[in-house]
Amino acid sequence: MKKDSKDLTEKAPHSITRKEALQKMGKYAAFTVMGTFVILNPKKAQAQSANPAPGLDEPGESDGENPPTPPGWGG
Amino acid sequence: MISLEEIFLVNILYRPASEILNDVDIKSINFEKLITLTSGHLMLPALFFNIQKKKASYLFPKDFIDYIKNIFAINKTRNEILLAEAKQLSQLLVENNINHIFLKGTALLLSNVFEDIGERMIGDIDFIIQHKDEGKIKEVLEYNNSCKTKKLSLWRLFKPTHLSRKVRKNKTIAIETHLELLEPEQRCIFNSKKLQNDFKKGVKTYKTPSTFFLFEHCIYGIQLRDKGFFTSYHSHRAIYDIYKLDCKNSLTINNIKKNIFKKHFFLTIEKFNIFDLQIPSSTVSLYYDKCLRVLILLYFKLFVTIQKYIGKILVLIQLPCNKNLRKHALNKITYHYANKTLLNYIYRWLKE
Repeated sequence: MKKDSKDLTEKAPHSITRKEALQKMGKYAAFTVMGTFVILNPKKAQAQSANPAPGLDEPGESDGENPPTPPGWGG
Repeated sequence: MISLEEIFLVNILYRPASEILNDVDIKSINFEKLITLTSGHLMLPALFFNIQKKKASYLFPKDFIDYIKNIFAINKTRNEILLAEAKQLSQLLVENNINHIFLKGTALLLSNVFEDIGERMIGDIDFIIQHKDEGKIKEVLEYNNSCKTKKLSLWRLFKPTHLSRKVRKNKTIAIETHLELLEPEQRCIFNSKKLQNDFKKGVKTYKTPSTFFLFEHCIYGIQLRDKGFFTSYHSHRAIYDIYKLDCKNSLTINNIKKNIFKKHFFLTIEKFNIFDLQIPSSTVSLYYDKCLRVLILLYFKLFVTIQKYIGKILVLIQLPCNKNLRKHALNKITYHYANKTLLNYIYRWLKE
């Protein structure tokens, strides 16, 4: 618990706390479903989007040199 | 039971300014809940646009309006970038003689369905190409510095619905190249043959399907891809698209009751009273629809299971003769083999 409360006040690299960020965005940001931010922030959207037909249709899409994401075939 | 916030949302989106407070006590509205509900349907920009259009901002707290105004502005800027990138992509494809048609949100924006470009939230640029151009488009997009990928050419039972999502170098929005409209098990109901005539029109820039196709694609998408047909799920983004498409010819009782998917879509949202449709539903017809729904669900489940196992068998058949596939499999197994005897055995076997 102590650690959690410490994390909340910990400064991010951009020198803004979570509390400050929420104040800046308004209290409604906390009630907004993640999907909205994911679409508005393309970088996040790319990272979180799933690939089609995992495993069999385009297995070569993953980097062959690195270990794949578990568990097993089919992503 | 519809929540008060959802009634209010529907009133703002679809009813004239004078009817916004119908069946709603504004003092009882929980604005945090309204944000959660609206953002869950990806409708915050549309909510702001309609509040402004109907001059209803006096009903909301100031910080609420400020917040959704920001979301609308960000979304509008993003959609402007999306449109510019879609046009550049279209020109590139035409230069390479690739016949393509934009789909979903991008097609709606290009068709000027919305009053304001910032109304609709769009994840990526969707477009469909003909199957024969699959190899060509991969080359074109690779050449244009998309993410580098290692290719594994495998036998496929069905063509994929779309190629993997990519972002071209120095671009912001991801692109999704479709080869089909829906998953293989759903293609007997709705497929890309509906676009044959559009493809026949030749290679052109910024091509979009007809309004009727966009209307149907929207309904089948929500009913089949998003499983609305089995769960009675509704999406306000899809409802809003259909509302804005304004397909008066398609929105007739005769047209809708003939098709179980369209009928189910409109029966699910009948409670909101958005479209002026009174779909007749007797106990017998409801029972018949329910039975048909169970049969379609069983067919989908069976199809997917069979397809999954055939796919795995195909991979196993190709394993001895495909070096790249073996390398890929080895990579996956390396991750697990230390603790599992069977994988340990396969790992050694593949390595030999």
